[in-house]
Amino acid sequence: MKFNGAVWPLLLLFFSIINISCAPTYPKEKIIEGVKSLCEKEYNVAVEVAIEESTMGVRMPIEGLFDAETFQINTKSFDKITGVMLSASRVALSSDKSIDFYTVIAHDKKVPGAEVVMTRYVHDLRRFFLGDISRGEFTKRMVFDVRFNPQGIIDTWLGSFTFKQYSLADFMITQIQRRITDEFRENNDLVGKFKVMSCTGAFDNGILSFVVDISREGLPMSELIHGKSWRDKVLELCMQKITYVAYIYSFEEAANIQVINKFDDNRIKISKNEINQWRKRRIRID
Amino acid sequence: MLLHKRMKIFFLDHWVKIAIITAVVLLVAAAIYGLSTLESFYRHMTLATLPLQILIVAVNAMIFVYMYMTVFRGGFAKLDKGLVKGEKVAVSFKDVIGIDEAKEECWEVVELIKDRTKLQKIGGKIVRGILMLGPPGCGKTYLAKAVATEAGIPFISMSASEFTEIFVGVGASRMRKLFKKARRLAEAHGGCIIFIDELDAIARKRSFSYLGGGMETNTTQNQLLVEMDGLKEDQGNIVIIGATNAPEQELDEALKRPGRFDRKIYIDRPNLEGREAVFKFYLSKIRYDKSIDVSKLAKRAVYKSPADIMNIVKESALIATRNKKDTVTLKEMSEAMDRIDWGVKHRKFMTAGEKQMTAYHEAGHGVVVYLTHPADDVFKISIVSRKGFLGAVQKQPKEELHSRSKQALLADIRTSLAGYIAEKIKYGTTSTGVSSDFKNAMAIAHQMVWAFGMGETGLVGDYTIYGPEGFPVSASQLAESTKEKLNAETQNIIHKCLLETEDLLKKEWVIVERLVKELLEKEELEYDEVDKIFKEYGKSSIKINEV
Repeated sequence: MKFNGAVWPLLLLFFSIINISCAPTYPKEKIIEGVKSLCEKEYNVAVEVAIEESTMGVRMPIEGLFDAETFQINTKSFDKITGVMLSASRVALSSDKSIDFYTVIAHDKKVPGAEVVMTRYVHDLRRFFLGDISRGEFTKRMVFDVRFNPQGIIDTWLGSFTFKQYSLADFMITQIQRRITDEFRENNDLVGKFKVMSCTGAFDNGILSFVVDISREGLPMSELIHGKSWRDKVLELCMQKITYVAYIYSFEEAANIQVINKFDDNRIKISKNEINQWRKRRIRID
Repeated sequence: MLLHKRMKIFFLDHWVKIAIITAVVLLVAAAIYGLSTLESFYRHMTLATLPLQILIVAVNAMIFVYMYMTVFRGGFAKLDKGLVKGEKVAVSFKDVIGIDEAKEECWEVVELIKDRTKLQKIGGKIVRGILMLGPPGCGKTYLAKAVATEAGIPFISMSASEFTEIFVGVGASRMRKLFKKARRLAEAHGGCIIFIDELDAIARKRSFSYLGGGMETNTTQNQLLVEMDGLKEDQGNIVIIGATNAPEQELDEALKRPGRFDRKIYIDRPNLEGREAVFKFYLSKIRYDKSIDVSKLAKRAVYKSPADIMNIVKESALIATRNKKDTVTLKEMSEAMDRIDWGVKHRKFMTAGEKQMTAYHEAGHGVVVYLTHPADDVFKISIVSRKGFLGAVQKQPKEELHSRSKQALLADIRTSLAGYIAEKIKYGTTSTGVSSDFKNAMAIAHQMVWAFGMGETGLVGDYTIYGPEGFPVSASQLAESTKEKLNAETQNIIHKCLLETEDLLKKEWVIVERLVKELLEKEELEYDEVDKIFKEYGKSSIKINEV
């Protein structure tokens, strides 16, 4: 085989690129330092960072996290939280340590229990950057919570830092709860007719199970929604949300998915195989 | 000094490439630096998407190039021919076969180029232009390549049609660029050969029209004349080789004068020896039956060019492959020649009677050619239908002849009439199959009397000069009595030939019958088979020197 003279510089170039692209920017031992330094340098925010198993937690105190009049998150504070989220994502993506989840907890300096918690699955980030999922879907996949957490007060007093360690099932359950709640808040067919009182999920013995407590608000028992009784419709909507999330994360561990209406103990249970059939549009869930 | 010159010329010739390479290297270096400052995930992401980006850029570039070539450059047919270095052409004089005289003349030119320093010392001037003339497929381009290889200097090959464009001036501009490039190369390498193929596209006699027709060709040719004149001695040795199939008189006189294309080399079809060498050369490239008599093939392929011979060998290999044979035999060679000369066999349905009549017709032709024709020989008799005929006799000259004797012409007439006579003797009637034979016989007899002075009336001269207005002499000046005499003589020749042919065929009818029998059995008879039959009856073909 005869090589052209131009082959050698090209090979050299190729190997140089491979070489520089192989080394991780944030090796295992420098992850915490990396996040702190990025937040400090780029957003002027001092943060605490800890890693438990495959979850990275970032805690940031913010002066005036909530607007005193509207009790909404302050715009400046929100920008800072977004910046810290971005810093955490950069480190998680460019490290040789396997980090699956990162959670950013922003708490008010004066009211330590008042917290904003944002959690992301790192794999979602990769898919988003590679254009595999849309911006809208990416936003929906973030777990967002505004809460009052007494543990936060204790942590502040003790100078410690505790956060939830996520597994994929935990993350999915939290995301599903959020999606179901949002559905009943945003779907025009349902707004004003229902209220989600509670939605709890668990993954046990291969069953991904949800118990929903959805109350009627002035809706007669005989009222139909798109030709279906409201009870059936509610269960159908919940099941759709659950199966969708299980599908997008290829959650193979769940052999069955069930949803139970706390009001009348009415339930739907479907198998993994049926979920696949549903995704292939071979069967309907109703 | 020469190295410095070469480097300078290299830079001037390739400055665009050098600039592009430098820009690419800088951009790649910048890209590597940029990548190295990115975090590893973004680096991976960039590299992961790189192949797709390259593909997109490549597709865009292809679309752009296609559009550019189509819209601005008249399509891909107008792509510029590149420079070929002499040593890379790799066609040596040993490879040029069958045209020895032309080779010798070209060898002189090669020696002149090689010994240019000596020549210049004694005040001699190198040949400027060589014009290669001759029929197509005889190796003009091949010979030009051999000159370039042997001289070991750069070789630029262009087709004259590449200079012609719809816009006046484009051809001239290309000509200027060509010579500019050649001068640079000659300066750097001590010489350069420009080969312009199909020169007649720009070298025909210039036409002058008020409407402007032919302006582009004229301008291109003028530029060629100017460039050839402008070649100064200190501008290196540039030799222009032009090749054309067009007759020499069709070319513009200005191009042929000394100082331009001052040496003409006629490359004709190869003679018997040449054809034999060409056959051997091409047969050596395929697996063939060594018992094939190459000299017989060469004899049969009279007036064929090397390209024709190459085609015959190629076609025979294809036929052998189709027939699932490992080697090419004489049968395939013969079939290949028939296919090229007569076309593909097209078997029409013929009744037994019709087939027999065709066999008698063709056997009649064959006997007359074999026994009486001084110039031609029977190479094949066939009653397989092809194109528009039901059967044929392949008669070829025994040797290359450049003129035709009276005896040969009379033999042609007798041969043409033999089919008619054979049908008449056997059946007492004739068919429409004789029409083309009669046409041929009449045309020859007419020409013999009217143009060649071969009649017996005493009227000698070319009476075809009498014609309609515009001819050298008006037809009105030819006396009716002269016309009558000439036409009567034409008929006289036909009748004489008719009687002679009838006598001959009646005398040799047994051979005719034998040929018919063989033809009905085998459909085709080769030269050897025909010869064998005649030999059985103690007959041999008339030799050319017996006439």
